[in-house]
Amino acid sequence: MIAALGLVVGIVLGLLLEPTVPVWMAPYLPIAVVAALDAVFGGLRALLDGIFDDKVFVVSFVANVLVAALIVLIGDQLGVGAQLSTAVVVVLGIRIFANAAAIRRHLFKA
Amino acid sequence: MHPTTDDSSDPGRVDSSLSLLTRLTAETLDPGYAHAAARRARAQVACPDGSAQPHASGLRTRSGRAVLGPRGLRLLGLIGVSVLLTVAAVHERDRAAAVAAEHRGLVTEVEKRLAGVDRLAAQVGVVRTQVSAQRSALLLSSSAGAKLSARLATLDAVTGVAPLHGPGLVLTITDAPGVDATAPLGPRTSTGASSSGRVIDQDLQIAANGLWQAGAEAIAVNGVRLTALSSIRSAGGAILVDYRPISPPYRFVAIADPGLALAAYQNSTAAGYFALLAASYGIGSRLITSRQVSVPGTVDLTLRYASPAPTPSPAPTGAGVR
Repeated sequence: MIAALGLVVGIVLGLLLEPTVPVWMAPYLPIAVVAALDAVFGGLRALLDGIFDDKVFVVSFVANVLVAALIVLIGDQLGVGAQLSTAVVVVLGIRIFANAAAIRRHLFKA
Repeated sequence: MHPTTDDSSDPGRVDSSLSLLTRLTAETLDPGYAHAAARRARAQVACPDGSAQPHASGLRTRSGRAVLGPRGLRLLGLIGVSVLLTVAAVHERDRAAAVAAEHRGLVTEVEKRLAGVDRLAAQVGVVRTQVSAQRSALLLSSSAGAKLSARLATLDAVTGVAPLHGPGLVLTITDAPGVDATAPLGPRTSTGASSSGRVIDQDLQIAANGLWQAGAEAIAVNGVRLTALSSIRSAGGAILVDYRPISPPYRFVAIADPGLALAAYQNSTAAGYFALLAASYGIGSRLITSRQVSVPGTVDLTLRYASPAPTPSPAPTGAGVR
């Protein structure tokens, strides 16, 4: 209930405010989205495992997004931004995929 | 956060060099959830009634006063997630629109410039005709001038300055049907490639050479006159003749004796080459004779390096390269 409310409020906020993404921030947005998806799938799986924790969810979400963006930012400064983005996407992608598989096992028992 | 205890794995493990990959695929859930669950379980054991130490988490001050309840925290987190996803989606949509608008603008600009080039080329043709008309009018006033005028007319025709007409051939070359016309041009690799049915610059070079060989006196392709200075080459997905892009069907107009040139062309290597292209790739080529064809004059006939030798030409001194 509260989850759906949060999602709807967030979407409405995002659409109404239409915040313009600063140019310097635009390259980190996709990475931040992947990190956020990782946190969401992790939280969903924890919920189904019965060990969901609000604080862990919020902290992991914020930290994931910031750390992923920071890694790519540092990579850009060092000239290996593309490689580090790939590394972040690969690691988070593996986690998202495994968590999605776990969620699927929970939901369909298969 | 509690120190993880399962970090120190057995040092004798065979796959210890792979531990990073193993952990990456095995520990997909944030360990924080397990720790929080364990902490809750401990709290539950300590105070079974759950009143003194509520198991639910939440932001609280050091004194234990709740700043934000667990539900509020969850709400905040989900709002954050969905705001981020929405902003990213909106941003991506705007970016795609911006890129498309930029592309459209570039296409419009290119078309405008090409139209401008066409207009200027037409102007050059008109002015050149006026100049030659006035020049011959001046020259015809004397007998020496009349001779010179005739010579100039021949030179204009031969070098490609003057528009010409006469009997001749029309050779039309088309891409294979259903070929991807946007793929970049390149050397043909195999019959299976999607772009192998496209006409490439080399084909047009062979066609032009075949027509010259067959006795053509003047050739134009898609309205561009071929002269001694012309080039047929490709850049990206387009064929350029004298740096002007042309698009299929490619239509060669050649002024020649229709019967002789037709026979000569059909015996040339170019005809064999196009027969092979038709059989292997489906590229079409059609040659017809015509009683009356016309070719335009060339626009660009600027010599950048060559200059006429002084007359009478000096005898060879023998100092040149042997």
